[in-house]
Amino acid sequence: MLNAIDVSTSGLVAQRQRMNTIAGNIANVNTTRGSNGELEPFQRRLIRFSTEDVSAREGSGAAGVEYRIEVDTANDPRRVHDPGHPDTDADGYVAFPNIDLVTEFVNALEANRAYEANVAAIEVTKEMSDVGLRILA
Amino acid sequence: MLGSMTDSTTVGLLEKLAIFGERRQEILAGNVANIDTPGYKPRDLPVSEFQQALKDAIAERRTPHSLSTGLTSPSNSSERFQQLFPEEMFQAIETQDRNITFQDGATRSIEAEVMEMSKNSMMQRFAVELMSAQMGMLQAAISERV
Repeated sequence: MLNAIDVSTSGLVAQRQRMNTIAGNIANVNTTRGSNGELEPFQRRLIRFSTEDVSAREGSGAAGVEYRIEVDTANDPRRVHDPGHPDTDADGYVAFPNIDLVTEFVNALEANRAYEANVAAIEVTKEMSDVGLRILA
Repeated sequence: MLGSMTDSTTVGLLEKLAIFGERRQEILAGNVANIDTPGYKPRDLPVSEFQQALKDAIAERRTPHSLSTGLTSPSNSSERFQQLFPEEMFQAIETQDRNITFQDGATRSIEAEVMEMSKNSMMQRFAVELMSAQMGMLQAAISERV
């Protein structure tokens, strides 16, 4: 019974981590330099989910979820003409991270709902184990 | 002695039902946890096979013939239970086309999963409530008062 809680917890952790990457993307929406000060726009992070069978009981076939954080290299930087900016290139363009705030917010909403769904699943599991204990009474 | 006492009730069957409910909750929780996993196919226990096995077990209990063959003796009835409810019945299988298939190959539907989960939870609660009612009846018989 408690395995169901472990499985749901893996979902909670994964969705919270997804929220963390989204928050990082939004925070770095205008970042033009890397952590060592080199001129390189921030690259969007994305999270990849996959099924894992560790948190579930062996042989039951139930599945947890695991995540991997990756860098979105397919996204070229957004070039904005802004000659006054300190990080312009020779033509007066600045390379900003290619982060679409709308996409990030929609993903954030989705992560939030998925997190809630896992909490609801834990509530059901708790209720079921409460009922199970009632046999003793 | 204890076996023949509980064989007059359906406690054994209800126990199977409660165990099935708890195992199924694990699988359904996994489906919710993997709601955003690309290519994930929802899993489930073979519910209709289990219901059929319950039906068969009830039918066998009702036939007077089963009494004479000693099916009610504890060892035989637990063996028979093992036949009716093999361990494979508590193993998850991938469900086929229960929901809409998304472009990443996953067939996800949070509504369907949550509905199954609440139905399953009600079923398990039902089994446990009935079990404790039958235990109460046995208790009344033993203590000779209601």
